[in-house]
Amino acid sequence: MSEQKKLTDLAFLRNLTGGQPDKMIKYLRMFLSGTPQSITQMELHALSKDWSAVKQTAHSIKPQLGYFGAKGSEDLMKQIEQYADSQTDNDKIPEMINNFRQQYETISAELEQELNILTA
Amino acid sequence: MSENKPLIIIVDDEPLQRELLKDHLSKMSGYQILTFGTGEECIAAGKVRKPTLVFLDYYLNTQVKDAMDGLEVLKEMKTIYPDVDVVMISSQDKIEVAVNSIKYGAFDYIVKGEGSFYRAEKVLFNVYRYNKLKGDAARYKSLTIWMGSAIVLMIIIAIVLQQMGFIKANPGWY
Repeated sequence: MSEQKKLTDLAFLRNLTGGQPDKMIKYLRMFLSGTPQSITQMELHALSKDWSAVKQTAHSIKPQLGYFGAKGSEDLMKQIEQYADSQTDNDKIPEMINNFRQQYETISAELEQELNILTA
Repeated sequence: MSENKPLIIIVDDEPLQRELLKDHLSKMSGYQILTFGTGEECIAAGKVRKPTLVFLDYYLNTQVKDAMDGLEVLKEMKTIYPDVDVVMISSQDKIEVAVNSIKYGAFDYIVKGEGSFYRAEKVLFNVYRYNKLKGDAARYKSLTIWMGSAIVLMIIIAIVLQQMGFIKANPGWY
């Protein structure tokens, strides 16, 4: 069975921190504790059709995904931000947020695994 | 002890972003670094002690809607300290964001992303070099004024002494 391609890549963070485990652990914990709240916030904003708030939340999550190598999700977040900004394809946004939530399940599982390795 | 070091302030409402930049810039010794989640905190800290450099998020109201945004904080900091260097940071690579930042006096503008930390390091170096050049220029200016004044004073003394007959018009000629 072929191994499924990972959604994350910690190469950038390893390079930035010089591979220091304490810093890697700190950043992983910060991302894993902060992002679920941001996703929920974004879902609530979409529910209340507050597209400006959706845009701002997507805007703040976007670069963080890049730091953890989740390029596909970063692109999705960029798209959400653009749709929310243009106010044209707003009806597609809830589905896109839902897709992101699903991606985040995998992202968080991968990062939890990395965290376990680093803290072992 | 650290109060003697030049101060860098990092303002971003994303804790991870703040921490990453702080840790990265901390590698460069000789700076005290303070981080804040809001512009209001940054201004309060700035009033207590003048920072050398401020890294300021452009969108500061993603968490708290009524919070000051980056441009407001930039304008306020420039009112308090016109010569403080402020670097705006944003995930937006739109030209108007960069133009607005520079228009209100930002030293530079950085787009968030993997390269932004190395860019911030480079900006810090540029600010250091720029301030050093400014200091050198001020020293050279005052030195030129002092030397010019000394020469004028010497000429005046020579004329006065000549008028009083203490020295001849062409000393050493005969």
